[in-house]
Amino acid sequence: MSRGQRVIIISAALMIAAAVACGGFAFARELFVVFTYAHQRQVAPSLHEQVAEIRRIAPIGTRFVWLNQHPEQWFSRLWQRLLYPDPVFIVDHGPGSDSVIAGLKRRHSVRFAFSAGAPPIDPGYVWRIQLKPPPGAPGEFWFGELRSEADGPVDGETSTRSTP
Amino acid sequence: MNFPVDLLSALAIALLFAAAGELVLFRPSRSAPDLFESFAVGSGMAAALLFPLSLAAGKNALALTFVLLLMGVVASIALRFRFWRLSRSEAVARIDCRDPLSIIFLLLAAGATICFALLNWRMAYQWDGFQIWATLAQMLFVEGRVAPERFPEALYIGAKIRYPQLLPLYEALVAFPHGTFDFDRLKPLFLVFFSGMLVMTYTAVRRIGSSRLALAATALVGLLPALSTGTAIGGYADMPLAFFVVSLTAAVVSERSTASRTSAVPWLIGALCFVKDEGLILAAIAVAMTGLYWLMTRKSHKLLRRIADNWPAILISGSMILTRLAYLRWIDYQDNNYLRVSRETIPVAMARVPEVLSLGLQHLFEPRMWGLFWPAFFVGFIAVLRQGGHRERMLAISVFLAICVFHVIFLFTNWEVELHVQQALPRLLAQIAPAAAVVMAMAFTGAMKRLAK
Repeated sequence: MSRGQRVIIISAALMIAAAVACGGFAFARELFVVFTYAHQRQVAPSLHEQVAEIRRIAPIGTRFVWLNQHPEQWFSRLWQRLLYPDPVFIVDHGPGSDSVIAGLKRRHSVRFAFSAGAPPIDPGYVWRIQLKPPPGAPGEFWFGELRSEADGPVDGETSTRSTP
Repeated sequence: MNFPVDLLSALAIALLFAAAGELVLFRPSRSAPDLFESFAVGSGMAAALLFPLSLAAGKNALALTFVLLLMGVVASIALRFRFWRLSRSEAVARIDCRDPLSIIFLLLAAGATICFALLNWRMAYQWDGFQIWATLAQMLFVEGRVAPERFPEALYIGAKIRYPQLLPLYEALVAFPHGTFDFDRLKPLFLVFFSGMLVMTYTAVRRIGSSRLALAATALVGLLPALSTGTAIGGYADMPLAFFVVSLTAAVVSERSTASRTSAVPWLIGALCFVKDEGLILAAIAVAMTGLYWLMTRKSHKLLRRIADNWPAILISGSMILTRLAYLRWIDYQDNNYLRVSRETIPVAMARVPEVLSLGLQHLFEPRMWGLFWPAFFVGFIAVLRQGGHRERMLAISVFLAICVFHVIFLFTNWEVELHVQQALPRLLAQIAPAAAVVMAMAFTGAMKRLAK
């Protein structure tokens, strides 16, 4: 073997050694984190039960709105997928969110709503129930039926049904 | 969620794709590399046909795709018994089990595969894996076709509707026989892509070097954190795209690539467009390099003859690329992640060059993510440019050009530059990493031969 070949082989060996170290540490770290903290299921069994309960109240073909107290990108979209193909229009609470919800009710006949927060904002429920939050979710989750235009202004408190 | 059943479902659909690939390549799969190549070709073709089928068959497009794939299996089996002979397939050299280094590399690659399988099984989808790719699959499954969102205001998928359909198609077809779409039953299919990526890396390097070198390259690729951990186990499409890129690389270095009838090259160039948006860029680079290769290997007055001789390959790649472009035009969704290239935005982009270069170099030479991988690639790239043949040079330039183009993308981002580079560049580099490993192997083989003289 020539000197040049030896240099190349040593360089290649160093590169492989670096790859083993790099990959080995990455696998060890990832295995620890994933097996300690990660969720194995995208949709927890308890969520499937909640979806089934909500479907008994709001069958396929219903349209929903989701009101976030603060902008949130994961749990609202998880529920969007659980209820697909029925649309879940996501609205972040802020100036004008009431008129956005009113517009959605007019254009899409939205009848039911979710709201999330600590505590959640009331988008105008006739009645509501409290849902158990999905694993990892902060705050509370409400689901309920929205007051229609014909119901007129609010006189008293929203009625609360028992949690499923 | 039942891992053995879910894995079997993923493998069954992969075999359907492979049968379709065998039909278009008109050769049986007699080895694992053949099977994975057929899978890549078949899945690319199916993804390319999905949009035209959706226009023609409406809500029945997905079901029709499934039926056509089943018919493909029957046709493939019939052809095997009736017409196909063993001599048409390329023999794959066995691994030398007496060589201790080969055994070590093999064990490293196997260990990486097992770790990937465990991580992929144990962890649910990460962000894009769930909110984009699996969501597109759910849409395809429920709607039965590629279609615009029913309620755009809900922003269920939004601008991501423009993303390519190969991975969603595979996920939707895995769910299809079960009758329901379950996000928790789809992830085993990523093990098919990971295994295929390693097998095709081995195959590509084995076609230019020894079994030991091929196993070393395979272990190197399997140990890259960008391809075996992080977003690769989260359901993202970057590692699957790496599989298609290295399959194309293996096809290019194959002895079959001069016979356009059984060459997978044009199909794989087209398939790139249907895995990720960046696949269109990689396909454009592949087409440009093919043209340059023809120019360099034939006298200029015979270039037209070369183009005419290869019209089937041009038709295949061209049709697939045009189908993808037609879909983007039809769905008509503007990408707000990037500035439009114009007289006003070019000075903005140019001003970002030092920052993007600096960030890019930081990521390329990040030892915890890449070890010595990219420094070794740049050394190998120079070696191949100086001493390699035309085909080797074209492959090396393709990978280098891809790295450059990926950096240019960030010059036009609407995001904060550092954040966008940090979020995206490692995944973009992962897509071409196995092909870069092949280039390094070429440089190693060439250098060892020259220095032995």
